Amino acid sequence: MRLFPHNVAKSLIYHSKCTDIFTNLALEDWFYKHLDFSVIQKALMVWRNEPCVVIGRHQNPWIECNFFTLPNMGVKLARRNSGGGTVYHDLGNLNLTFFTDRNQYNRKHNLELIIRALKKSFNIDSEINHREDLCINNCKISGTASKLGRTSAYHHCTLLVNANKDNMKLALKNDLKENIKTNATVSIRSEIMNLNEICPGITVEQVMKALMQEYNETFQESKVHVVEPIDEQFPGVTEIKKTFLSQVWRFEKTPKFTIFHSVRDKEQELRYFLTIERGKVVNAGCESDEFNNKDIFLQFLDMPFSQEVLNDFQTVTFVQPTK
Amino acid sequence: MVVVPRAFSSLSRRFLQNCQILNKKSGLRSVHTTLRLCTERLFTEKHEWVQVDGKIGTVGISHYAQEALGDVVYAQLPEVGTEIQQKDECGALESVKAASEIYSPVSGKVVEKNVAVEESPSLINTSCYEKGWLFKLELSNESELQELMNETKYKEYLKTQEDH
Repeated sequence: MRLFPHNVAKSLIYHSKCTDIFTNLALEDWFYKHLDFSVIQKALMVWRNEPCVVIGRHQNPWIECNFFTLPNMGVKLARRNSGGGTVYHDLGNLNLTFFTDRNQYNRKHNLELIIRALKKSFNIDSEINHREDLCINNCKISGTASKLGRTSAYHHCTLLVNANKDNMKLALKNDLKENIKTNATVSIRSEIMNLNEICPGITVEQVMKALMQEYNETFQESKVHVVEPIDEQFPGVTEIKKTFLSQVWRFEKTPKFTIFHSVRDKEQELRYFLTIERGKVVNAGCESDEFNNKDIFLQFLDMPFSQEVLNDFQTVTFVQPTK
Repeated sequence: MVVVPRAFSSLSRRFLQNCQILNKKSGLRSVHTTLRLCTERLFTEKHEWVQVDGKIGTVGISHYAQEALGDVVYAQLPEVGTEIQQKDECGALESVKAASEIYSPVSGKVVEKNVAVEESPSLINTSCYEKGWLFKLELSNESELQELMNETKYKEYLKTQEDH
């Protein structure tokens, strides 16, 4: 009861103490499902994470990031519930989730709130671009995405304060995407910038405070709650976290895609393909009938897609042409 | 806000009942009335539509909804065989970085999904009532249709929404 004083405050601020992406996504989903925004009207969740790559709901993890290298970098890979493209988080990045009733959903208003906070507290001038991202001199400092349900909705965004740009670059590097055909949402690459490049010494804590203050001024009587996402306070949050961690959600949810591998054979170029649906190989072969030796490709069918499968496929297709 | 749609749904229910009475009273002409009624598009307050033919209902989103969404870039539709309850989440449409949940206006079992829309989600924008339908289901509770609005009622409902 202490956490949800519906009759006292009309807007609430939750600051998550946790820095694990899966737990925070679960907490965000918990608020979305459990808070009645026709009563409390608005809520803001402020959170950040240890290094991770977060792909959009309908994206392909194998083409959006440095998929096979992430584990070695100690970077987690998560899929969120909202649309849009891939982002990199670390403790130098602040995340904000604006929850409202579906009818009150307005990304521009939320971004304007951030602009005001940055201006008032740090004299930083930022603007909203045509894709509803926040920019300074055409460099992106914040990426936006949202989820709209029947009654509730949320808009969440990142805010780069002093994130590790080298790690970000490496984590999002990908060489596979040129050879892939898919309907999945594709990220739009943009020049990015940390707030500390324009305002040296600025910290995430300072930005967090400035934002909470502005939220409080905009929607009076906002109460701040520092929360730990545990079942005792948020019943069922662990179960939601399990879903976010699951293979099914992270990988099998990926929209169907086909990887092409071209091999030159004498005068002609042969295109081999590997189609993956729900995380597993569903088809493999060669576009040219005479080389479409079904037996050789049978071994791939039903295999969960992995680096090993990709390597084997490339090896097989490299040696295959024997006319 | 809550009272208005209820009034509409009771109106449309009365309209349906009147038509049924009409059917019973007159002969040949009523056949046409029935056919026209069966294929009439019915709407929810959340801007989904369903068009019923026999036991099968075709579901989509309204022109107003597609306009509000903007360019749809990805359609995640329910799989064939899925049992859906009325107002259940059963898929999502992605546009301008927003994932909007799809809800079914009626309960039933999914018998077909629109593969063309999965391939070209923009069909939802260009042809939301024809080529841009989302899925078909076998209705399990036809009485749910009585809560829905016909096109005329829906247009009136849209006007009340604009006032807010």
